[in-house]
Amino acid sequence: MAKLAELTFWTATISGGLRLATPLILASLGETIAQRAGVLNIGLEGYMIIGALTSLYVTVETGIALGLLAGALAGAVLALLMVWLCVHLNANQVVVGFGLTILGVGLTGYIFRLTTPLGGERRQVNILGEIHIPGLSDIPFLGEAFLSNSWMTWVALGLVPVVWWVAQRTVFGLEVRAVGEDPDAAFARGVDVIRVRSVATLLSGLLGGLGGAAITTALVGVFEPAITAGRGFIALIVIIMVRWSAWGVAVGSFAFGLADALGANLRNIVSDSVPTEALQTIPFLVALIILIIGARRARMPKSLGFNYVPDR
Amino acid sequence: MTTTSGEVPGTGPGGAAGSGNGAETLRADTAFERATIGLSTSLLAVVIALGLGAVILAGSGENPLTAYGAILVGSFGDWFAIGETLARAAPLAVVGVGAAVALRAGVITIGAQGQLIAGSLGALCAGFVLRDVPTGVGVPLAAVAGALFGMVWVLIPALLRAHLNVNEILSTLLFNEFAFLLLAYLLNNPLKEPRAITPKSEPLPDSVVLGDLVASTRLHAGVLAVVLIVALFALWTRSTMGYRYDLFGENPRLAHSLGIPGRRVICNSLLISGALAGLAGWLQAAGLLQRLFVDIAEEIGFFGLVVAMLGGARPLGILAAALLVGALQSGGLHMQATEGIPASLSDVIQALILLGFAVRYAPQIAAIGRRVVRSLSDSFGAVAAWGRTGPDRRAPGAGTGEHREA
Repeated sequence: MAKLAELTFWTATISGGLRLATPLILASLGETIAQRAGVLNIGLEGYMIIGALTSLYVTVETGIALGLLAGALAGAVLALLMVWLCVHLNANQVVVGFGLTILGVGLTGYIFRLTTPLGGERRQVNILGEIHIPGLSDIPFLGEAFLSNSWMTWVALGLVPVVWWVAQRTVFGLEVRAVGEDPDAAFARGVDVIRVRSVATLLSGLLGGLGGAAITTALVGVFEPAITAGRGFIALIVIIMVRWSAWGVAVGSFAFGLADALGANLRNIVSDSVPTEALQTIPFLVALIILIIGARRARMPKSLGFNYVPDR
Repeated sequence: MTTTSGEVPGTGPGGAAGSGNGAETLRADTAFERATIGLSTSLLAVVIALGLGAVILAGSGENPLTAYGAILVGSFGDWFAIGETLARAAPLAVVGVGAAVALRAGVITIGAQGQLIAGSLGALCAGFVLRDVPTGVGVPLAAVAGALFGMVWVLIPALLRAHLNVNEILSTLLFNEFAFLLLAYLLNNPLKEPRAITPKSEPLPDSVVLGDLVASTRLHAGVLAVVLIVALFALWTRSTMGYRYDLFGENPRLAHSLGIPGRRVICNSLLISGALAGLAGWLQAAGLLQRLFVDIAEEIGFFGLVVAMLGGARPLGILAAALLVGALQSGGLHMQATEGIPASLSDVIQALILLGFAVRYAPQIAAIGRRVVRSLSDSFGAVAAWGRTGPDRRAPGAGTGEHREA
């Protein structure tokens, strides 16, 4: 237990938390855009896992850049299905999202098993290393804990202000929020509701796929069935907690990543006295508390989950 | 005599109310037309899903005919296969009924997975206590224990949803994780069978175990309980109470103004779904496996929700959907064992069927279906006549020009 007082434990936990937060930040940012536009994407888990497998397999064959692109595109392909079924054909968003999750998990499981015979070698890549920023990374504690990240984490963090700016300062962002709050009024003002919702859903597919890609290429280096481990649903919780704000997504994702890393690192210290299963509940307990607190203050986009049916 | 009034065209599961805009909706569908549209679009969704599955198979270098042949053999090929299909369909149907009760009340729960684990623990606990009682006492009490444990596991999410408006999809999902970790802990430590290599509990005592129904299959007597549960659900959908819950699910505001207590509806529907998921856990523990394993829940909780959605949250629909999903799963495992094609393909096909079902009541699709059905029923007017009432409907050969102000 004495290790808890050591600084290295906390630098490792914090930098691990940032690493684990990376896929969550990406996926939640995309989902925030979609939900702001009124599209509830329960299928996020499906986007992530298909992005995870695709990016890994493409990275092995070509390189990390094409791999990440392919992962994002794979997520967008599933999102395209969501756009067609929900935004254009008015299917129930929850049913379709649930179906897309099963589809993503099933399809990746099928491909993985088919390409990885029992006892055969798994495809794997070297995970991204940390970037050493001269000066900043050398600051004691702070530098090691917060400023020594892989570039994937920096990309995710860098996207936060971009999404905030798009949502709050551009016409598209205004349209997104308008169709999420009151699609009829937005339509009356000349906004193409269907188009805005389609684009927002596609963006969430791209970012969800990229989030999945971050798991395999930047975090783990391999794929296994169900590797996303419910992160797509955790992202949904994060969004409720931070009330659909881009900056909040970064903070909320970090909180969850930190709990995750804490559980993992504590395992090395107290595994004799505390069962590992109890430590594994830590991130989910944190998520539950977050969910309860978030629900008290939640003011979701008014038309979230409801399809827009023109001339009704 | 008008039978057109009061019939809502094309309402589907999940509330995708397709009131369409086409001229053909001027006349509401007859019962015959609705049934035909519903059945044919369901079959079409299954066929399209199987077709897309075949494309995936062919694309990955497998022969679709071999694969589907193996699925068919593994699901209905012989008595053992049929027993496997039914034994898989049983917990799916029970979870499906529970999910349907909640769905009808407008509540979506993904927590069956955790409640099922809790229910299986309940059956095991009952086994510890009731080691020396006759089977006639032990079996029903174990079932009650399973249902109670399942209910307890959903209690906190239900209260959180009813009183603090905490999203039930996400909270029940977290409780799945807690249940899984609890089971893993128990099976690795206090409940672990000594000297066992993989974590599993000791076998349940004979006093609570459900006997085999058909020799040399894994079909157990618990399947009979499923029939009872579905029958009770059919009564529920026709009862005043069930009607109130449906009303709340369709229009909470109207239900409120009629004095239906929303919080209680939400809470109770979640508790019922928890009890039924717990019963599914009892089926797994006391019937199929007769011990507890870490993966006792498999993915029954999730696919039970799929079954409820596919079955349109209706009794017969759920039975049919549970059989379909059970057959796909047992057949998929057979395909994996004999042909080496991953069983995940079954999941893909199920997901595609679900997506197909999600849109089969979409206005655009329903309009096409209605047009086809009506032109067919017009040409086969005599055949269709039994489904229609009133002489004013027969306008043979009029195609879709048969419209009439409703």
